[in-house]
Amino acid sequence: MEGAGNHQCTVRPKGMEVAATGLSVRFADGSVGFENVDLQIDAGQFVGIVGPSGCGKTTLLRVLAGLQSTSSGTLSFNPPGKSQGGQLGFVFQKAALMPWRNAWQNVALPLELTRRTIGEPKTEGGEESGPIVDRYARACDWLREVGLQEADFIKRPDQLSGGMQMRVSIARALVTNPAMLLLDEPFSALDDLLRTRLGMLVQRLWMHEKRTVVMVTHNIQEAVQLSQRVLVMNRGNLEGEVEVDLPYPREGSIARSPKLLHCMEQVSDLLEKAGA
Amino acid sequence: MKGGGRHLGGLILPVVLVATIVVFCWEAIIWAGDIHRVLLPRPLEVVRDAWEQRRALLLGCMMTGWAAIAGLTASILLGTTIGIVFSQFRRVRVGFFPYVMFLQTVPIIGIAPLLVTWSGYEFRTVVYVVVIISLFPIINSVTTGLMATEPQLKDLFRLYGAGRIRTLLKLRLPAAVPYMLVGVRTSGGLAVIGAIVGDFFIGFGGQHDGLGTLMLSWLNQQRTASLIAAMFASAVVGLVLYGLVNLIAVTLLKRWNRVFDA
Repeated sequence: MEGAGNHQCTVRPKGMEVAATGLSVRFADGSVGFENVDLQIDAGQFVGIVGPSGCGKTTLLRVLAGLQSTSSGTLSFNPPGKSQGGQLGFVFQKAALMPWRNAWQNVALPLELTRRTIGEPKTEGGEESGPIVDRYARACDWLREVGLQEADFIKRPDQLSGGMQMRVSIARALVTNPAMLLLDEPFSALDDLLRTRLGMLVQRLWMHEKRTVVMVTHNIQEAVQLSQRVLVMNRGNLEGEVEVDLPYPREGSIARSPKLLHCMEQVSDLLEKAGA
Repeated sequence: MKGGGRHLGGLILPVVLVATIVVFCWEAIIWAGDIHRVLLPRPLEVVRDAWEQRRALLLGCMMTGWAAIAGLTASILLGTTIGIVFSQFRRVRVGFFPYVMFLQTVPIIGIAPLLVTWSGYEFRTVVYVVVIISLFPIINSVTTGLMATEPQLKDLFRLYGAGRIRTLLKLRLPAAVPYMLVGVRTSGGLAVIGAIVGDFFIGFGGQHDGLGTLMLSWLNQQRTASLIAAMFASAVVGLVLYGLVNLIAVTLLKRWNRVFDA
């Protein structure tokens, strides 16, 4: 556990706070992404968003990431200044690794891209090797953290299994030590066993660092088991939310507890009521 | 890639067998049809002429090969630059692409005389002909490759505030390499054709004795056996260039996860 979080020299409050009121997204072709969404996410919260495909949940996530502009409403972050400084990590549905880079080079990419904005420690004499060595060290720390073996660090994506690729992708999202981690149906392409394992990995990383996590999924069980709050979306509207008041880590007996099952039912009911 | 030695016998044997059959039929046709040696010389005569003209043929191969390589290299540099501009500026692409298509559609035989008029009976003219014939596939593949970048990776670069240039250098260009190599492979074959066509128009007595030049002079002297030898020599130049391009492509693509079906 030691190591991964300690490279950052600037002290940054763990977790990002998000406040949105009356948020709407309308696309150029006239279709609606979502409408009039009010949302408050506390610092360090683990929030799940569920809903059928096309309900606007991925669009909402892209808005939070600054990848999609809004048509109306206000959105604020605390600490402010969202994406550009590596304050956000994003895990896509696919691993989306660069095939010409090996595992550690893929993980180091955000460090290269945010070099100017993040204020990396300067080495004496401004040698080029300094930052590169530091990037390598940080990338490797995170690769270890997500469960890769040393021998895999120099493997290219096509030499890694699907689960490994996803782990690399998670390490890449976390390498800038972001205040908020956004996950867009991150494990939907993986089999059930891997899905559970990676879910546990995300949970462990969250418990360890307490950064804000927003995870979009269409798997109700996954959402309830991992999140503190589950938001239910349908047809561009936020239909309601379910609080999941269970202790972490949620594995073993807790994952099968009646309370968790009850929460899953509540989420299902909300979805059904919304006509999904 | 594995077990090359084991497969070699299995690969070479059929090829040799086909060659033997072709030579046998060739002889048989001459023997049966009593064909004059100006029309179709015997295989042995072709070999003899090729040996006698080995110096001229070798020099011709080198001249033509150099022109093809120089032209192809220029095409790669020029085509990649144009592809980058096209991918970055939509208006430029829309405005210029029809004219680039012109490069593809105009017969090289139609342009070559003009080029000789403008640039003279020299090596560089042959290179120009090669550039014109081999440029389009590279522009096309580089532009396509640069614009086919995975959307999620583009999002990732936006997320970290990467500008246009950085996205181009670190993402779009490397992602376009497999596309570009497909274009280069097509252009490699065209380059040899362009070089020989260029030789033809420059003709004998200029500064340049390429394979096309040799062919033209032997055609005038009705030395059919030498002509056939020159034809095989040009095929060898084409094969060598193709092999060279493929070797570079496969080596480069080892870093990319796309399989290059050579």
